Amino acid sequence: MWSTRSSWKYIQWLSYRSLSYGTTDYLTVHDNAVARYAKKEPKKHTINQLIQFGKQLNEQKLIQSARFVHQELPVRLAHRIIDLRSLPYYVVCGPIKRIYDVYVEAFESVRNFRKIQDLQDEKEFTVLLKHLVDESANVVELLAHGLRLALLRASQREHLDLDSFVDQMLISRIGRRMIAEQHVMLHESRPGFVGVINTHCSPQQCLDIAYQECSRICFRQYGVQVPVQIRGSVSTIPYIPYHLHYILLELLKNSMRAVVERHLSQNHHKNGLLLSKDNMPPIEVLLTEGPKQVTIRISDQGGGIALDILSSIFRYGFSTVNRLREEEQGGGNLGGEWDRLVQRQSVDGPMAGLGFGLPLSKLYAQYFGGNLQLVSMDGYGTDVYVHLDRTGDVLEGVEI
Amino acid sequence: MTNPKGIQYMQKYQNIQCICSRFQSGWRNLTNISKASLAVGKPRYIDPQGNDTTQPSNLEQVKAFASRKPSPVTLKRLFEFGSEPSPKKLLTAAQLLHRELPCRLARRVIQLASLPYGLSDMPSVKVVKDMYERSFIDMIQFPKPLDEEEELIFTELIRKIRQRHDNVVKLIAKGILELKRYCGKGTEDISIHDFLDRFYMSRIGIRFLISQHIAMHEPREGYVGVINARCRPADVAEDAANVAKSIAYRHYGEAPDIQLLGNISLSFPYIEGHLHHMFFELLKNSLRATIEYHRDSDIFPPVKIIIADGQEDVTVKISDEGGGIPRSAMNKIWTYMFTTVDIPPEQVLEATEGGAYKGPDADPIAGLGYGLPLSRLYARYFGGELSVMSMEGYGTDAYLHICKLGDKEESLV
Repeated sequence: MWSTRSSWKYIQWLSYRSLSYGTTDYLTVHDNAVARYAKKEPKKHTINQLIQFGKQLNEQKLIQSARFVHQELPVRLAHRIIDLRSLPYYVVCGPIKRIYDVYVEAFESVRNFRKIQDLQDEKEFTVLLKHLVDESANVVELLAHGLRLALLRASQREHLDLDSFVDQMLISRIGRRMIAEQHVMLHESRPGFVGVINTHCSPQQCLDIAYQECSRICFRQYGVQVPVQIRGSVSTIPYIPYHLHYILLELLKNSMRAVVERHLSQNHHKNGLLLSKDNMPPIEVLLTEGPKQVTIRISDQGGGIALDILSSIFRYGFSTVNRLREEEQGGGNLGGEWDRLVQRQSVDGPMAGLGFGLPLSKLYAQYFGGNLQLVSMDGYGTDVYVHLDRTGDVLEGVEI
Repeated sequence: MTNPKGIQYMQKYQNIQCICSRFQSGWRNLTNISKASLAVGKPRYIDPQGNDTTQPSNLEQVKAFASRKPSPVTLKRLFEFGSEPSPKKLLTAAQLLHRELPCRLARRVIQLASLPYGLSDMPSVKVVKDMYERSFIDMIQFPKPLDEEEELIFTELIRKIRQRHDNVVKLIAKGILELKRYCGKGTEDISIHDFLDRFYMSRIGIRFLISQHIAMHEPREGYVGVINARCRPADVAEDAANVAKSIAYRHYGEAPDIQLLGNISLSFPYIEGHLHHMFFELLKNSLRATIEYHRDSDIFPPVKIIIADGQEDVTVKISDEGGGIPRSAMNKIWTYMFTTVDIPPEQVLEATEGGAYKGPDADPIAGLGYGLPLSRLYARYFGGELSVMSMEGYGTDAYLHICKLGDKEESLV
C-alpha cells in the first residue's frame, strides 16, 4: 500500500500533467491533441526515398519537406508522450519528468506553428527545428539518470523492466532527429550529401576517423596506442555518417579499453613496465560486403566478457546502477576515468558510463536495416559484427 | 535442466490423450485407464512370472512411465561417480539406469505417436516407434538388477538396445521424406523442426547414458566411461581436422591448411565423441566452402581454430575464408535439410558420407545434411551453445561454447 508521502507524490504528478501550461482548460485541448496525433502511425521512409526527394531541391520541395516534418514530428512525439504517461509514477519524478516537459513543449510548438505556405514560413520553421534539436540534446543523459534512479527506487517485489520502454524512446529519437536534421541540412549543400545522408559514405573513412579519435583518448589515458589492423575494402554506401561513427567509436572504445586493461592486469607484477605498442595484440577490423550488406567485424584480444555479465551488456543501465553506488562511495576505478575522458559533445550524451553505448549502437545499426552482433570468447577476446544495409531500400525503424 | 516448456507440452499431451482414449471405447477402458493414472506414482510392471491380476496394456504402461519426470544428471556428477569403478558402483549405476531409461523411452513413444500432419503414420516413423516400444518393454520386463551377474546381463541388454537404435536418424529422415511426398510438409515447418530438435536431443541423452555405462565395464586409461578426464580440444580438433582433410583430398584432390591457435594445452573432462562430432562437422563445412570459393586460385587461405579458456566456459572459434553464407540462407542453416533431398526414401538408408568418428561410442549417422543442427544439439546437451556468424563475400566464423566445469544439467525435453 502506498504511504501518505507516495500518494501525495502521485497527486503531484497528476497535477503536473494538467498544469503544464497554467491554464485549466488547456488540459482538455492538450490531451485531445495528443490523443489525436497518437492515433496516427508514423510515416516511414527509406534512405533512397529521402535521397530521391532531396536531390533536386527547389522552393516547392523545401516547403513540401517542411510540411512533412510539421505533420510528422507531433505524431511521433505524441506516441512517446503517451508512453511516458503510462509509466509508474516513481519513474517519472526527476529527470524523466524533464524529458516529458521537453517533449510536450516540442509537441506544442511544432503543432501550433502556422501552416507553411511560403519560403518565409519555411525559414522560420527551420529555425524552430534547430532550436528543438538543440533543446533535446541531453535527453539520452536524462534518460540514463532517470532510469538509474528508478531502478534504485523500485521496490524489491516489483521487478522493473524498462528496457523496451527505453528501446522505444531511443528508436523514436533516432527517427525524429533524423527527419528534423534532414530538413535543416537540406539548406546546406555539401558535395555528395543530401541533407544528413552521404550518398557515398565510405565505411573505411568513418573507421579511420573513429579510430583516430579513440586512439587519441587511449593515448591520453594510458600513454599508449593500441594497434589496429584494417583488412578488406568495401564500396561506398548511402548512409548517415553520424550513425556509423557512433557505432564504430563505441566498439573501438570498448576494444581498446579491454586490450589495455587486460594487458595491465596480466603484467601488474612487473613494476615500471613500459606499455608499448609492440607487445599488445592488435585489434583486427575486417570489412566485407555481400550483394545486400556490408559487414564490419571488429575483433579484439581483450580477454572477452565474463559469462555473468554477458547477458546484461545489451541492457540499459544495468551495469551503471552498481557503478553509481561505487562512485558515490568514492570508489573510483580505471574504467570511470576512461569514461569521463571519452565524454564528448555528443547529442547522445557522454560516450560512456551511462550503460547505453552498446544497446544504442545496436539500435543505430538496426535503424536502417542492419544489425549488431557480439560474440565473446571468455579468456581470449570479443568479436563484434556490424551489418549495414547497402541497398538503401529498407524502411526506417526497428521492430521490438 | 528440465525444459519447462517441454514438460508443459508433455502434460498437455497426456491430458489430451486421456480424454481421447476415454471417448474411444467404453467403460471398461475408462476403468483401466483410471487405474493406470492412479498408479502414476508407483507404476507397476509385469512380473516375469506373469503374476499380475489386472494385466495393463502396453499403452498404459508407456503412459505411466512417461508421466514420470526424467532426472537430469550433470557431467561432473557422472564423472565423479565413475572415477573409481567398483562392482558395487556399477550395480548402483545400473539400478539408476534401470529406473531412468524406461521413462525416457516411454516419452519418445508418446512423442512419436502424436506427431503433426500425420507424420506418425508414415511407415518409417512407425518402425521407429515400434523400436522404442520394444526397447521399453524389454526394459520394464527386466527385473531390477540386484547383483553383479544380473548387472552384467542388464548391460548386455542396454547394449543390444543401443544397437537396435543405430539407424534411427536415417529412419526418421526417411519418414520425413515420406511425409513430404504425402502432403508436402517438410523440415522447414516449425512443428516438425521442433519435434526433430527434441527427439534428437533426447536420443543424444539416452545413447550417452547407455554408452557411459557400457564403457565403465571396459575401463580405459584416463577415461571415466566415455568421458575423457583430460580432454584436450586441441587434440580432438587435430584428429577431426585430419579426417576432414582426408575426405577433402578424396573429393577434391587438395585441401586447405588448418591452423590451431590459442590455448593449445587446455584440457578438461568432456565427452570426446561429442566434441569430435562437432569439430568434424564444422571443419568439413569450412574446408568445403574454402575449396569451392577459391577454386580458381593456387593457394587456399587456411582454416583457423582458436581455443579460448574462460573462467567457466571454453570457446572454440572455427574461422574460414570460404565466402560466407548468403544472408538469405542464414536462417536455413539450422533446419534439418537434407543434401539428399532428391534421393527417393528407399535409398536414404544407404546414403552415407563416411569418415564419421569410429570410436566405441560412435554414432553412424554422418551425412544427410544434419551436421549443423545436430552439432548444436550436442553443444547444448550439457549447457553449451553453437553459433555461426557469416561475412558474406569473405567467410564464416563458427563459435562453439562449452561449459568446462561440467556443472550444467543435461538438456531434457
